[in-house]
Amino acid sequence: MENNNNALEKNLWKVFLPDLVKTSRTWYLVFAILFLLFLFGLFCLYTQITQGHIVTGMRDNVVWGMYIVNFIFFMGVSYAGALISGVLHLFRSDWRGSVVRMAELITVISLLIGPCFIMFCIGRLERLPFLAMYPRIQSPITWDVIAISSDIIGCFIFLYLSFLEDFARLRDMKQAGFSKWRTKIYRILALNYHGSPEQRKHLKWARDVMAAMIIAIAIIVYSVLAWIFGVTLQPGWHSTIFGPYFVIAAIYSGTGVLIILMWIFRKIYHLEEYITKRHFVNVGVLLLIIAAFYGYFTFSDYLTKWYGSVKMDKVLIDKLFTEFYTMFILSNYVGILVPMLVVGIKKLRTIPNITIAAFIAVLGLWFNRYLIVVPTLETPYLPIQDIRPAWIHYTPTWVELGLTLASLATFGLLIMLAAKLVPIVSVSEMVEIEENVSVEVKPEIR
Amino acid sequence: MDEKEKTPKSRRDFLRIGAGMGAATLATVAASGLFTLTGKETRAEGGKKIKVLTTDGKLLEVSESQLSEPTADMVVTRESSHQGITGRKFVMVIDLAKCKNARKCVEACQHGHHLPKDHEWMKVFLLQNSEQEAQYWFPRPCFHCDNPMCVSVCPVGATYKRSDGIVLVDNQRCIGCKFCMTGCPYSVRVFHWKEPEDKADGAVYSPETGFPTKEGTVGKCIFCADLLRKNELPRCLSACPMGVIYFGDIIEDTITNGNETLRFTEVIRDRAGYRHLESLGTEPSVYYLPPVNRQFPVERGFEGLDPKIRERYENTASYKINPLLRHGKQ
Amino acid sequence: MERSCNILKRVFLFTTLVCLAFFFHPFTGLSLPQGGAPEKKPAALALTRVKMSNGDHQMKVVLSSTSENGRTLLAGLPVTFVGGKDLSVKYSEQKTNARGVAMFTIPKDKLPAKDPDGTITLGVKFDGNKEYEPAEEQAGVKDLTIEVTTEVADTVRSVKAFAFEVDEKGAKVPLKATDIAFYVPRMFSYLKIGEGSLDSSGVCVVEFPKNLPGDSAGKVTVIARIEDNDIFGNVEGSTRVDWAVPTQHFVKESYRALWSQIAPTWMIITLIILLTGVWGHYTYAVVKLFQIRKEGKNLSS
Repeated sequence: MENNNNALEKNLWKVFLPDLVKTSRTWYLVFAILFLLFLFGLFCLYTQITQGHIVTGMRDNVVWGMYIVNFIFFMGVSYAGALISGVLHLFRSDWRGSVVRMAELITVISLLIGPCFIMFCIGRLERLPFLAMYPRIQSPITWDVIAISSDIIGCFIFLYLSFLEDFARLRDMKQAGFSKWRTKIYRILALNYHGSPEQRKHLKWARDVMAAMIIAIAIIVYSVLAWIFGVTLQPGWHSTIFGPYFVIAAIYSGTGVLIILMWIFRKIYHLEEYITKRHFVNVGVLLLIIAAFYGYFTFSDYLTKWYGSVKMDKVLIDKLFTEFYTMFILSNYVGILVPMLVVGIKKLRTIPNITIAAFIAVLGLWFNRYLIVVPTLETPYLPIQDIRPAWIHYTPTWVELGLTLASLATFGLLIMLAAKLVPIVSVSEMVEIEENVSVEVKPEIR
Repeated sequence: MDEKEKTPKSRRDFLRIGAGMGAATLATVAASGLFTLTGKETRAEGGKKIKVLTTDGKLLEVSESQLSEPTADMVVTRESSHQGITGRKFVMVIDLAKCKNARKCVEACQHGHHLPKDHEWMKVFLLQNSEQEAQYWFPRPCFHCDNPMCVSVCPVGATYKRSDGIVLVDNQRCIGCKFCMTGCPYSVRVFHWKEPEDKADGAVYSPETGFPTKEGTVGKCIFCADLLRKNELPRCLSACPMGVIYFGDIIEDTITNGNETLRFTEVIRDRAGYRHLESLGTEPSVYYLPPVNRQFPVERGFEGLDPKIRERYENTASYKINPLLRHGKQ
Repeated sequence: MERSCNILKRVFLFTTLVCLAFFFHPFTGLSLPQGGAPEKKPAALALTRVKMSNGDHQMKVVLSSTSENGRTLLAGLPVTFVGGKDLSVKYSEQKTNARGVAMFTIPKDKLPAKDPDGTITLGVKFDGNKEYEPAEEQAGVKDLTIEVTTEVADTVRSVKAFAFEVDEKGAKVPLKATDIAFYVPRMFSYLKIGEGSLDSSGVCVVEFPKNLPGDSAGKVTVIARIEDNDIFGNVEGSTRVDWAVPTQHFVKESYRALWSQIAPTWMIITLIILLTGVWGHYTYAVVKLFQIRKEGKNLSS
């Protein structure tokens, strides 16, 4: 390739190539642990399928528990990843190079894991095809099925487009010593891409279109997800604000997860040179802005319910401030204010601090999801009576916890595998940005 | 966290009455014959016992869950269950002044539909609208709404509303997503969390009987659609000793509780009938008559109640916000 | 697994029964002392008999057994409907249903001969079985006819019932001073529309209610009925009038109904627009990929 001599690229390959070719013992160890967790998840699923949903903590009132919480959470993480990479791509931010690949990976992987929770949650897994065989357009679940499948496919296309140039580079890397089958895979995946001006133009167009599409569909999908709750008459769910509220919350969690992964990969691959404090601060500021919006939506939603105090809204909010007090404070105060303060105050703005803040944000958001799903279901219009006392309150069982843990492990597993196939930072993107910057800067120097 | 009732399968099986269309099933029916049901129950350690007479004249005691009523000759297929009974629009009127939580409706429903324990289609609530208002017992079947949220949200058309107003669930279509359960504002729908004990081999499934039940699907009160086809009244109504429940066809403007037959419009007009949570816009087909001039003090509903059932009202006191439960404790 | 268990259980049950039968058989000499055999329980029949307006007699019987434990409805047992003074005419054998009920209608031309005093006796027999004693119940009533006619005076529409016996000469003898009620049959039961007492000429007139729904043509059947009379039992007479309000049943389906089979049009249109928009762009991106590949082939060749 023409740019093969570029110094930056050489450095980048120096960092990534060893890991693509060789596999360390730690990698295997971590992989084995995560794989065991994954197997445990399979066991949990087996238990649930053979013994029925009685093994979960869900009962006739709280019919949606941790599975749906995780589903919304993972979907949120995924769309936000898409939004960040899409927005950064369209705005051509010069610092995007080292983070978009991660964002895209987060997107696709959590998009694969999220819908699995729907499968855990539904009573008859084998009837899943009915969703496509007998669809009813009126049902928000049908909207969701259509939107999510469109989203998965779109995100795959987008991810592939961003991988294409790197595949071409890897194919052309004769000295790396890849095994034969691997070179073959790269050759097939690279689609004869040689970086000719014509090909670059095609690729640029395709990527721009897909970046815009990803943003659009991400908003649609997350709104649809919110409407599953919003269209019902249940207190706490029946809210017009839910669509945008969920979208913002999704971006929030996605940004948080991105920061956490940036920190992890920075440590593992020693990417201090490429993922700098500037990246953390930039993504951090994004987190701050979204936190402000998210806090605003949360406040607005609860304020209207609290002020009007329609009977059931009152019952629900009283319950949130008593039974779910700790969780409520953690998610809606700590989870919003801490990231804002950490990023907002310059003195606190260090890489570990931003990472911790991101972690708190993600955790807070998970609890926020829990607070949306469970307390509402425990507050039906007709009080929960004439039911076995043990069935009144929801507590997740080991099966649900096991599957949650396994899904997190699977997230790790897939990221690890993806990092084996392609460099975790987009080499081509970095090089391209470098070129553009030097082109733009040069005239000024003159 | 939840006690599992394990009924020994062995005893259940030999008393099963299959009813259905298949030749094999008919043979089973012929072989095992019909048996009697007794109105009187005797109590033993294994839960409620019911006496059953076999064809060869043996009287056996079996627990209630083992007993299956001989389901009828005709079973409406899944397809034809989409067609309502021609020219009918059913309505139920529940007279709250007469209810004393005798729970016969619940028992008859459980038994008639072969429902597993903890899967009740009919429930009796102890309601109180505000602290100064009176408490009252509130039997709650499915409301068979004219604007049913549960049907709107179903992604696969497993639940549907017919021309006669009845909302049915087809458990061979249901995928168990439980969206209808969150959609229903009256907590009517219940889920089969585990494999039903009463498997009833051979019985032909119909949404109008809701039987055999299936694990991982949703169930709910179906106004005894199977009995209506035979011009018979719903089971809860026939079982009620107080005549609380009235049922009829709104087009004929007639309701009956089995003893007295009244004009629907007159009853609603004279007794100020209302629908529960009218403001939600679901348009229920079940009307309530306010609990005025009551025949029993509300406490009567706790008399002679099985401690296990009593617990169902007492232990909800943690539901602090609702003051009635605190009162219910007395 | 389950099935084979079932079979095993059946076999086991059968064997047990055979053994028991053998054990108790009188010729085996193993029979228990006298008191050992279970005492038979009493069975009771509750018979309701109605003379319908067409002259047929409808019989409904409930078979039950009452002990100190309460009343037990006996299902699935045969009862025989009989008639005649000594119940010698046998009509039909029916099995009781799950609620212990058996029903049979005797056509008017098959009725047994009248007794000298004019009584027509119908009855029902239960032959008993190992568990229950036999039982028998009969109801003898004299024959009464109710004619129902209509009359309109000014704007008042009335239903008139005339109840009478027919004596040996064929003359109508009116029934006097007896309670009579008027009903409209509904899906599950009779709706009472009026009641009164027969006057000295055996006539009772009630006003037909306004706003009573009938069928789609406004027709409705009116039944006059004398109930639980000591001499005549239950007797019905009927007529059909078209004075009721015509009813029509149509499903009220709002233009915005979401529960119907088909989604609202706007929803389908929106969905199609969104889907074509999104998938159109996807196709564009994929086409671009193919172009890249084609380009690449040209480059390498």
